[in-house]
Amino acid sequence: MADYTSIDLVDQPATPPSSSLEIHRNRLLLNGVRVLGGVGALCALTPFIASWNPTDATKKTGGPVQVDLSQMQPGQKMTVEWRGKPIWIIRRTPAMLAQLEQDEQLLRDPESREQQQPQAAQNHFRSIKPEYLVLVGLCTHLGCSPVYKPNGEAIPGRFFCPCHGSQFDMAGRVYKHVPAPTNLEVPPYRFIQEHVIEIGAI
Amino acid sequence: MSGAGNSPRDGLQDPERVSGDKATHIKRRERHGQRTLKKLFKWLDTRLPIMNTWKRYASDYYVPNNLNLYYCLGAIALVVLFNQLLSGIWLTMFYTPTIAGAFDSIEIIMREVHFGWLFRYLHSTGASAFFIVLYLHLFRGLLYGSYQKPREFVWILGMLLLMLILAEAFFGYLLPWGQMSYWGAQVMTSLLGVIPYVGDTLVAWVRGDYGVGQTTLQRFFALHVIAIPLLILLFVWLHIVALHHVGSNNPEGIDIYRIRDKKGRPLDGMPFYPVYFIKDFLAVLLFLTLFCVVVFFYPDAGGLFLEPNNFIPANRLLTPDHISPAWYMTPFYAMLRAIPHKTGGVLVMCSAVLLLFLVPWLDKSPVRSMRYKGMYSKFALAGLVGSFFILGYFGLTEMTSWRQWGARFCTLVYFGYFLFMPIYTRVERCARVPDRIPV
Amino acid sequence: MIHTMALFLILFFNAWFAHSDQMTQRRHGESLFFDYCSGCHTLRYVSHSQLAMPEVEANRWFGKVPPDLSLTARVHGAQWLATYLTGFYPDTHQPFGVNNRLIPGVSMPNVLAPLQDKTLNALNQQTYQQAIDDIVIFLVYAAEPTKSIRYQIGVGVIIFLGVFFTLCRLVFVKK
Repeated sequence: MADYTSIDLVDQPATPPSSSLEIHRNRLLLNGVRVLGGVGALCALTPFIASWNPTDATKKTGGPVQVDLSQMQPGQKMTVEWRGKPIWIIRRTPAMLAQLEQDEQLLRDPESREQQQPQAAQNHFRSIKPEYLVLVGLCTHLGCSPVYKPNGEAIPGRFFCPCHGSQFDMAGRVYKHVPAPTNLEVPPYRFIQEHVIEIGAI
Repeated sequence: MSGAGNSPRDGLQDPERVSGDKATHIKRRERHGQRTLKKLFKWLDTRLPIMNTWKRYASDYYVPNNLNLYYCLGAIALVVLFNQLLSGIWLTMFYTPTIAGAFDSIEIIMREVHFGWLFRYLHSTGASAFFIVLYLHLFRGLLYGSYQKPREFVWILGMLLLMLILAEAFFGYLLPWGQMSYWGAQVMTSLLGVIPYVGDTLVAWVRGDYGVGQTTLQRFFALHVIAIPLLILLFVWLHIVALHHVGSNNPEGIDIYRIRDKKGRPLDGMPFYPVYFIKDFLAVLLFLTLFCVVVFFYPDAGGLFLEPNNFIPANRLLTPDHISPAWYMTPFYAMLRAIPHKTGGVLVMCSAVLLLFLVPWLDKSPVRSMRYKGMYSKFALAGLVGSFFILGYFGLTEMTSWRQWGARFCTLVYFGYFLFMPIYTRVERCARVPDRIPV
Repeated sequence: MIHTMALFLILFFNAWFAHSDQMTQRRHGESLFFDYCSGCHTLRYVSHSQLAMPEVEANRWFGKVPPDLSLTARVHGAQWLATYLTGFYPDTHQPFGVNNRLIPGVSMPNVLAPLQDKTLNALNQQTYQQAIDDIVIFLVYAAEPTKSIRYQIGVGVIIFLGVFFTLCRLVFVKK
């Protein structure tokens, strides 16, 4: 008969044709297989999903940004980038500050009741120091960056969004009857020196 | 009874169900859920050949009843392919295909991406595992004569798959942009220069530059990530379809499809599902265990799976002391180095692979399986395997005069298996093959 | 078949037990590295320290740039590194007065010599060897910081697969 060579690995004797396997022999073991299999599948899925989270290095690039305001002129607007967003710092003139109280009936949320600003900016000027306004320069409608119009007609200064026509006043508060629903967002920031702010540290 | 009519009461037989007991309410909901699933399945099955495919490939696909562990390698190869695809896609999400960023991006994957190290090791170990599985799978074919009529085309498709996967490994190896990556690609692409007249143009054409550079890296990236995987998937599908069209071979080499019962079922066969499905499933689990031991505890495999020199960023001005291709290509590399003539070496190396395509026609034996073939075939196959291993060792190590002569001898043995096959398979004395599989 | 399985299980347990937590040695090695090595060698993938001297100066002093050491333990291995660091011997023909048994004609001076210098009241032989080992342990860590996580998860995976395989074998195969 046939001479099996030693190169052959596991040899199984020819089994007579078997019909079906009994797989419901033990319900407990079978359920154990199902449960373990499910657990295994979930564990195997974890690395794939977890890997999408931002890495520590990526999170560091969203770290705080320090800005020196000492060279700013009254009425000037500075733009810096923080977490991929434009951040505006405007040195408001006294005229601009005085104008804030008037025409409040034209605004949708003059008291800034919507939480679009941190605790420190929860005031009439929407800033820590009245002179310096810090805003996230993205329209709250659909995210375009509005244009700064310091010499608006009749009113000293406002922000105008070219995409759909939204307008905000010199504290970033949204006007009525424009598409944007809320005031411009104030990012978390603090003064670390007389004229230096740090955006994002809190 | 169930699902027969339109009344909600259809399928409900027992008066017990009318009692309103909570347990029976749950049972009714379960059965209702099962009926809905059945309806959904039926809707799908009239539009896609699900049951038909299941019957033809699983429940009614008759397979010899004497298949051994070798026959699980196909399923294992599919699992490895799936692993490469999945880990590869995830790596592509974090890899940068530029010469400035490639090496760094892989270190970022290893150190900063959550579980990035796991994807990297899965992919690198998977590549080596793929070739171990494939070489064993190919060996099974040689051992049991699976390439013989009517399975020659299954064999051809398999060989084409081997070439595709070798190419995939070659293109993929450039991507880390380490010293071995760069110099390996530089050497292998320059081999094309042996072709007369068009050689040098061809080399520059493949590289897209004078030397291996950014252009080369990017196109190898495209080939490795999209082009070749698509081709591999296509050919795997064709390979399986071609096999199922003619039926599976077995270790005895006996054709089970010749002797059938009154219903047309082979007497020595059994349906693939559930027995061989379970066998494959268990074999895959076993494979995964061994695979994970390597992935988690020995991913470098002593420098075989992850070469130390590849942890040095590519330096185009300085070749490392010792370059060799990955272990799965070293037997062929050893043959290349054994021949002192450049063109001759390339020809020998290429024919070593191409000869495998011709085996169905070189084998003139009246029997399929090594179990019934004569002594010559057994010696020749042992020689092939032995020389393949020894050549692999030579390819990994530095060439010395002794080793080069050893490599030449092994190359002759290797070629002897193929070139003398028409003769020794015809003259040797084979055993008589029974009609039925022996118990 | 069973022998291959046994071999793999032995290798698995060997790797698991051999890897003990070497945190104190690693920390010591780290401080030694930053004291003696970081002046010339960068560690790009571990920290973005700017302590290493600029390449132009390095070329002037040594004739080449001292290589980054983030992955050197994966390239050469721990054994090689330890042998290299203890392999310096005096050689008047060399620009810095020392040569090395592993790399003849090496451009690197023996920066760890002060650790052995008796006049500086430094370490004795045993603690010197310990210091070398600690530096190597640190470099091995720097080459692959996720190694310990890999081992921990690996144990869980192997145990799970072993249990799952046994369970499936019991449930699905008729004796």
